[in-house]
Amino acid sequence: MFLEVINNQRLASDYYLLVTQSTASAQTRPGQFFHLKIGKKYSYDPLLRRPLSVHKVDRSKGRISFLYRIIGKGTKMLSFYQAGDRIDALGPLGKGFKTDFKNKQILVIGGGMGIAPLYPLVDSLLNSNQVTFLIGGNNQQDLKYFLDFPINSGVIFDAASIDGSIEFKGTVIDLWEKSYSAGFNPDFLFACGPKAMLRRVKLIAEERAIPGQVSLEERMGCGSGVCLSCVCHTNKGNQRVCKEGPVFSLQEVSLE
Amino acid sequence: MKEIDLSTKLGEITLKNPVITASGTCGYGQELEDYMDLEQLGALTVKGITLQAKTGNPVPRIVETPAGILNSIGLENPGLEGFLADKIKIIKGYQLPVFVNISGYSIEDFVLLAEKLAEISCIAALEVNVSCPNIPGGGLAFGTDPELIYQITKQVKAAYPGSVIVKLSPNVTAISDMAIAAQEGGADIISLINTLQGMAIDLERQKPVFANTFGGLSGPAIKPVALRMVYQVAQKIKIPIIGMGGIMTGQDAVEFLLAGASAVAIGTATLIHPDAPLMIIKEIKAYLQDKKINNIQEIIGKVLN
Ligand SMILES: Cc1cc2nc3c(=O)[nH]c(=O)nc-3n(C[C@H](O)[C@H](O)[C@H](O)COP(=O)(O)OP(=O)(O)OC[C@H]3O[C@@H](n4cnc5c(N)ncnc54)[C@H](O)[C@@H]3O)c2cc1C
Ligand SMILES: Cc1cc2nc3c(=O)[nH]c(=O)nc-3n(C[C@H](O)[C@H](O)[C@H](O)COP(=O)(O)O)c2cc1C
Ligand code: FES
Repeated sequence: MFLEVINNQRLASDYYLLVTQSTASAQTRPGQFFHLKIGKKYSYDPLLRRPLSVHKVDRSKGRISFLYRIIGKGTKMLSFYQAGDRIDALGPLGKGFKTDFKNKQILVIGGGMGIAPLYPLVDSLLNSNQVTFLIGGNNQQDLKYFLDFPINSGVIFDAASIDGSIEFKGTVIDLWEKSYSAGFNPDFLFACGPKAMLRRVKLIAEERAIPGQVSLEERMGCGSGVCLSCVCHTNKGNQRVCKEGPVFSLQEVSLE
Repeated sequence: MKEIDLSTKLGEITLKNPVITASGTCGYGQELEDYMDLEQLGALTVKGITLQAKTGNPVPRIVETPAGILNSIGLENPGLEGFLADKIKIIKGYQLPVFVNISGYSIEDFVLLAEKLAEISCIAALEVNVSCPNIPGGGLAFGTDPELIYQITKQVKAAYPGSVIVKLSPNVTAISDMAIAAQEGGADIISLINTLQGMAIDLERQKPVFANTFGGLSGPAIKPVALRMVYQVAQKIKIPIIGMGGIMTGQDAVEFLLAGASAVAIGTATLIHPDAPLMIIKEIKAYLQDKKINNIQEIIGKVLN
């Protein structure tokens, strides 16, 4: 399967938005990811594919977008792709978020790059539920794209930055705590972000008996479930982030 | 034009083509069905099993290296019991030959596995992985001692009536001695190579990346070493060889066949391109067509003197 690049645009320092045309848009669900082979077909460096979560799906135009940050060789090379280039991709992979809710109070909480995959989730929830979407990052610069992103007016949205460059100074967890003191208590929550943040989310959710789901990242080989590189521990034993995940029940997964 | 004959023999086993999936890189086959028709493969080798279930090593379990990968999966598998309960039924559904890879921490482990698996008729062969440490948690690998290889092979052969493949570790100085030991022990087939031991260091933590310090290197980076070992072993033994290590294309596969392998296994390539084995079959065929060769047997071992 190929993703055809429509646009690959630098957003801020090392953040990029990749918009592609794909026949897979119809079957792509929030929380799923694609496994991209970056570089020429027979180039062996980088050898492995790179996983990227779906950031936006536009079924009518047949488009799938990704938001990525340059980390190393693979994402650096990806940033050189231009409109018209084709990317060899496997996907959509993994199981997405649970979305069959009705009339629920739902908290969606994202940190750093973990915010990217939450947009399609928010989109699919907002019609029949009350969604509160909280995001956090290091500074205004890192969050700029998210702050500018058009959000449906039915969604309660708020953001925090650690350095205080946007109004709420602190982590996204602090932001959640603020809304909790104001009486907000969701029926279900979704979280994606750094491990440390997810651990805190799990702890608090357990205290308040809020069920939820988290999306995890792990080093991957195949993405197809054969190599067992990407496992995490759950109360059902080891599970593969690429196959049974990347979305797991907050209650079942171990984040140690 | 005459149809090209790709069939090859591994002792008593006939494969319709020489391309096999390598253990640990194709699960139990199932996962790859979304990407290819498994029945087009020469054979399938399932993930290594041990007597007891193993949860494997902590993550990270994989690191990319230039043209290679290091893995430290730690043989995660459901154990013999789990295999018999859940996996056998998957294997039963296949028409193609399925090889079952076994690992152990003592000769008794291997023998017990062989005895139990002997009762199952849908297995085409056992592949004995002698690359793992001879004590749980570390120690010298069985695969570095010809006497141990001979003993394991002999006792597994005594316990198992079907074909036995001995899969050699490349982490030795004289690979031919290991192959000869397996042949003397009664092995029907030799497969090589397993991964080369390596390591990676995390610059942030200033520690080895893997909890187990070392990992196994595979992929294109190891191909020249694997090819050399197949070539050396082919000159010393009479039983057939399954060659593997870094095969990414049909051209790579043909090199192994020319060096004396009767069949090839594809590992890392399948992790990147889940249909790689089928592409490789096509490319082997195209090579033969191009060279006007009608039977693959004509190239097997052609480079040997
Ligand atoms: C399911 C999933 C979804 C992801 N979604 C996104 C996304 O939407 N946007 C985004 O910016 N990033 C995302 N990531 C992380 C992204 O895959 C890595 O940043 C990327 O692989 C780094 O590759 P590199 O070659 O630039 O870096 P290098 O450091 O050179 O990569 C070396 C190796 O480590 C792996 N690796 C490095 N960082 C990570 C990481 N955080 N997680 C998993 N593997 C890693 C690479 O895949 C590669 O195999 C996701 C990861 C997973 C597992
Ligand atoms: C992720 C992974 C898991 C593996 N698991 C096993 C295993 O369980 N038993 C075994 O004998 N070899 C195992 N191997 C080794 C491969 O079967 C093969 O011998 C090796 O990777 C070299 O081939 P390649 O370069 O084509 O990958 C594994 C390799 C990888 C990459
Ligand atoms: S990456 Fe291979 S099993 Fe998940």
